[in-house]
Amino acid sequence: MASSIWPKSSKVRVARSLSAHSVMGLVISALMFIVCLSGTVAMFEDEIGWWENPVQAPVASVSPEAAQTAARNVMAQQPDTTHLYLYLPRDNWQRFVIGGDDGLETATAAGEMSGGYETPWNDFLIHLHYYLSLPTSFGMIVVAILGVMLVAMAISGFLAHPRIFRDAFRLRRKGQARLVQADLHNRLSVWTAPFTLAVAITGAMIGLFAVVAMVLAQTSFDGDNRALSEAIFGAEGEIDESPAALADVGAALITLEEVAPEASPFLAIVHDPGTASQHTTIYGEHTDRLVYGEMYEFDAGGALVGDSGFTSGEAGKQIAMSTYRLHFGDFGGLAMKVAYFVFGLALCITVAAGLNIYFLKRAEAGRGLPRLEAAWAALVWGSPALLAATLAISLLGAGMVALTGIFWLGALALCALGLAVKDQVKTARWMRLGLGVSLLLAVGVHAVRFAESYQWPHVWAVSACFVVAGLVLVGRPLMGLRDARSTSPHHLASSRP
Amino acid sequence: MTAFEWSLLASAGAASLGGLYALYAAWREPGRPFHVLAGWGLLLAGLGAGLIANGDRGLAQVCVIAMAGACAFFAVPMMRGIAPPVSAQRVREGAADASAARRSPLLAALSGVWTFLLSGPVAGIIALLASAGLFKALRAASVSIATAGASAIIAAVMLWALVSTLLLIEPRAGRRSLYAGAGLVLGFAVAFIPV
Repeated sequence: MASSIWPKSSKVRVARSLSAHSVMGLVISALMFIVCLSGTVAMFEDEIGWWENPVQAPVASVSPEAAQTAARNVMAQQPDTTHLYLYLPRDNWQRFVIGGDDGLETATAAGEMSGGYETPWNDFLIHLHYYLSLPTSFGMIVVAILGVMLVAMAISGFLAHPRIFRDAFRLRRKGQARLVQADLHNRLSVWTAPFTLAVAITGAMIGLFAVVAMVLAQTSFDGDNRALSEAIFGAEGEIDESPAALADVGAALITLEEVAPEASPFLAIVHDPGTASQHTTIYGEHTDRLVYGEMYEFDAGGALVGDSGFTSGEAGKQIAMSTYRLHFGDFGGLAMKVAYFVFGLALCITVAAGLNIYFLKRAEAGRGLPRLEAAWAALVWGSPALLAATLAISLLGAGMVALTGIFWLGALALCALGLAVKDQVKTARWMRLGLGVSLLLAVGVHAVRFAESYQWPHVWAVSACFVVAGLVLVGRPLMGLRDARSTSPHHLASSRP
Repeated sequence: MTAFEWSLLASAGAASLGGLYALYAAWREPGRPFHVLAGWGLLLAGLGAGLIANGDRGLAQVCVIAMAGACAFFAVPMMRGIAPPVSAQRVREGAADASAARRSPLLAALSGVWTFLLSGPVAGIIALLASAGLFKALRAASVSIATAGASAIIAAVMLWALVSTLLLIEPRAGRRSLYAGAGLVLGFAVAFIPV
């Protein structure tokens, strides 16, 4: 091989970086894995949430008149609401969801409320990813710190990787297990590094916003905790509670179409509806920008007041508003979501392989930890199995609290099982089987409960994905068992002529 | 998007995949600097074309296409099966951790907790204070609150990660503590200094 054109890395620096990388990995791997896994699945939160409670026919578009009817219906149902929300259908999310402070419901294309927006499993999944099922303000900071640690892992990983270019495409599938795992860990992490850094930095930014705002309040804003968020996202004005006719959302939508035809409206919010100070905000997606959306402000009559400058204003506003789509891969329809899902899986494999390398190194040094290896395998394969099992259970009627309990207690129980079994290969095989069976079970329960909804393509598409994944996961371990039996000494002996 | 922009974005994606292939060819048969240059050149050209075709979203989309190409490359051998993470070595019964044997378990645990505190919360405080200092400096240079604030948030995340890593890279606990202490003092100074 020709000599490298890159400067040689210091061996001491590489060794110390590797040590730092290992220490961080050992401390946070389990929680990091759960956050990465839940985030990967949450990539399809819209699709799965829709599948979870498919009582309403798809709504391709909503007319301004229907939007106004929907707003009136929400006000009739929730007269004391301080905000009124209309989530308009998008190309890859053909739903019309409306509501206020007391909750959301699906609606028909005519703006009539049709109920059926409760999605306990989706809520549980999102709570798991955003807050690790902890109280929200504390949990968000914990998850944000995991994001910071993921960035730190990427930095230390790069510093500890002296052969990053020489090994750029090397992936050994067989041979010494540690080298196979190291190749997996290094190759996937290096090639998906832009994704990892993007989701880790944006996730940490979202989670640490309140903390940074609090620090800046003490150092620069005389203790005003809201100063930063008001500078970036704007502030609510003074409220005049004198009664007034409901703001004209339909007129605002028509005005938006006239003044900014390039903006696709996806969310309309009426602030302080039915009062003299009411006004309407419409978020419009700009498909050539990463920002979540431009925020257009309208008065009660539907006349444009201005926009917030998220697409063309200060750089800070644009950066802050770009974190969401960058974190959730929502910038190119289903294709980008699928790609993000694959990268998420790669990140899960990277985390899992990282700890596998640690266990294998110990085993090679004669200090193996077979019980912990099996417990780790139980967590790695058991967590997705538990997510699938909770999905099946939620379809039987369990609520979010129950699902949270089942997941975390189940994870502990599966790790305990791994510790007892002391065989990671067997443990992993059982968990994969459990994952496959749970997916098939979830589809079975869903098909019985929502049989009539299978007339809509999105429902059977999601079910088909689950069935294929379930069959592969069930089929492979069974084939593995058959292969193991056919090559076992007992079988070979008994099959001799 | 216009037809031209679509074509440009498609070309950008193709260029990024072509760049990957050129880098792969250079890796497979080393000593071909043209392939290395062409690879990185195509990747950069793809990113530039993506930016022109569809703004910052186009840039992100081309990044995703390139990463997807790399993932597809590795997915093929992975689908054919990977050796399980099982060591060929047998565990030697009673083999002791030599490094652990030299230190008392209590001291080792305390050292671990101290390291965790330094590289976690203390590094975080240093980063937050330094980012507050950055915010002040940017405001003094007439940068808007929104831009200075967004810069401070990004700096807080990056500095926390960097300080954590650097503190962990330092092998001696005494020096590590000293660096952390110095970082804290410096952080407080820049965060609360009147500008």
